[in-house]
Amino acid sequence: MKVRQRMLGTLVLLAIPMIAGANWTRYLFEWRELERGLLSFAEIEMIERNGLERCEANPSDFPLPPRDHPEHLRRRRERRPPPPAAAPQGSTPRLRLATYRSDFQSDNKRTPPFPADLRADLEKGGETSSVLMGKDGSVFALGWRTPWPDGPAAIILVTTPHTPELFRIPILAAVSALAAALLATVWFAMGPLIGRTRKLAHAVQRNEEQGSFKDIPEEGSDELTDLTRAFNSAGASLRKAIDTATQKEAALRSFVENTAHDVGTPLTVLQGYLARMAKETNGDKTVLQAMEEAQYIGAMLANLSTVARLEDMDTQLRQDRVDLKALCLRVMARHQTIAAEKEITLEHGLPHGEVFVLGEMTLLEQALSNLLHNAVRHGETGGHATLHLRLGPSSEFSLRVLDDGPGIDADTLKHLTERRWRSEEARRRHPNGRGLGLSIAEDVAERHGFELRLAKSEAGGLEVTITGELASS
Amino acid sequence: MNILLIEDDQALAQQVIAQLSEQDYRVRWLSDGQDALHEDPTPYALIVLDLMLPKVDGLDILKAYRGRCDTPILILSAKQDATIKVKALQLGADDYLTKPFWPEELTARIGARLRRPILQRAGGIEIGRLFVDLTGHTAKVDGEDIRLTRAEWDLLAALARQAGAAISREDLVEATLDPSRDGTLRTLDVHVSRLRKKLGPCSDYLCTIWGVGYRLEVPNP
Repeated sequence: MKVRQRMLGTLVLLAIPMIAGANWTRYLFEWRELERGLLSFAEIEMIERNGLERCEANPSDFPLPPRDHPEHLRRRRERRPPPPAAAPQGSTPRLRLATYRSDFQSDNKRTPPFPADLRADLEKGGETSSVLMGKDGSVFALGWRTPWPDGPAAIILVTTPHTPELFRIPILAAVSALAAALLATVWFAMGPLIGRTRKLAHAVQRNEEQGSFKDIPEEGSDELTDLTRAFNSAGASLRKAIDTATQKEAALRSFVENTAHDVGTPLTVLQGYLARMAKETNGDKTVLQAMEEAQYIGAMLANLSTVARLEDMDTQLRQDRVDLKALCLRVMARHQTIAAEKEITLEHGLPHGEVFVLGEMTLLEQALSNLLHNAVRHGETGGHATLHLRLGPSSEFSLRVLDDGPGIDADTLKHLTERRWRSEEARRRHPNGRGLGLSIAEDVAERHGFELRLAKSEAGGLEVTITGELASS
Repeated sequence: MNILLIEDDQALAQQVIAQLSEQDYRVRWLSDGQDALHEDPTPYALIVLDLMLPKVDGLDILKAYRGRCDTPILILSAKQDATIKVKALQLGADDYLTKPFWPEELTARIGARLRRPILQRAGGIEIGRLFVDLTGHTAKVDGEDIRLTRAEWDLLAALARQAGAAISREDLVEATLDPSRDGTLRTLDVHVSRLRKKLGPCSDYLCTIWGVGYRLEVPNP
């Protein structure tokens, strides 16, 4: 819930008891005033106007006839319009006074019986007690235990027509207006605060989207400023941590790249010696195994660089026009030596004309190299490995690498592109596995918007197909 | 043929020289970038240039040579970084080779660059001892006409037009056979078998490419 909605709700919830409370207070105050007025009237009538004497002289003919409200009570009543039930328009409500002995019996036969509620109160020892009487509570009655307990006026009952009003519109309106004014004041006063809160939220959100954690401008000197400062402080810590991690990553990438570079030349020399030894020993098995391992080390070095590049999320992949045919030929040449030593026929088929795709040349080359490396490495003497590039009917290509090696069961096929995953069989036959190369190939294909699929080749081996869009000419 | 090798690593250079010498190439080796800058590249059939050289960047040498001649330049690079390779290709390098590589890999790449191109003359294509006359719809082996059926001729012409490249069986069926009558892969294989026999001494030119289809091989010079 928004702050302003919450404020409105709170104000409404507060206003209801406030209005009820104000009215109840007003009601109690009026009741007390009425009690005082009627008591005052009774005292004046009985003492100052000699009511007591007249009552004692002629108790059977007392009380007095109804009288107008005394001046001070009339003024109070006139301040507000009389309630409709109080008295007919134009008439003045009258006060009636009746006297009773201490046993609550009157000497005057015309006097109404003393109200039971009041009697109970007075019998408990109270000096006065008041109550609303009548069917609809339209008569206010005051019972007074006088200081003349032995006479016919030991108890006096004063009544007056009265309509209680629990809720009075002016008070309701006044309280409502006050609440509305309060709401409006707070509403507008909160405006700048809410604006700054929103600005702060947007700035934090923007930082999160951009991953920049830039400092948010600090405005004012209140709690919101403290919050902004806290965000900035957290952002600075994050920046520092990210910078450190980025530097470490860059150093690691650089180390991997430099290692691959430094090892590249001596490994080429080593491969040269191994190739010569293979020639001189006429394909000695041990030499062949050493050549395979050298090839594997070279592939691992290239894959390390490729992984470092792929995990460098800060940099976008290059979008060069890559000659896919030239790339295929380079990859073919790379594996020709080992294939020949293993007596595996390496073949390729390329379409007529130019085939260009958009992407990062070395990554694509390494991806394809991994596929062919696997095909040759897992192939058997006398087997085949083929790289076949074809163009689709529109602007797409398909690049297949297939072999007639031992093949892979369906369950293993599902896991093959998971990085560092190696099937038990692959682990047993070739401790270096083929999972990493395949997962890198899939990653590279995905980053280029291409699709890599694995299937069983017609000859029973593995068939890997990469499909994608050609670069527009 | 003369090849200029610019490589600072002595062991590697000696291996490359030995390998290329076995293939009857004459190699001049320069290990210093400054020397390479002063070398005249024009007499060489091909230049093998390592990018990481002391004193002078290999790319500067590439730029200097490209301004003086069109000799094919093969780059050697130990870095996986695509930027430097793309830059080398943009500056006019013909190809690159990433270290580590096998000696045969290098000679194959050099051979591919220096291989005698397929001769195209008078509307025909000459592939070794075979001549395919695309306008006259005839084929000759050692100057002698060979008699071919329409399907065999279409097949030979399709392969000759892309000599040296493998063509998939599906593409060959589409290009040479009537799909409503005999357009099956099996029929194609039969036609290929017959064509191979008719090519006589050039039958080796028509190679089966496992997993792809067929290729008309360009024989080594």
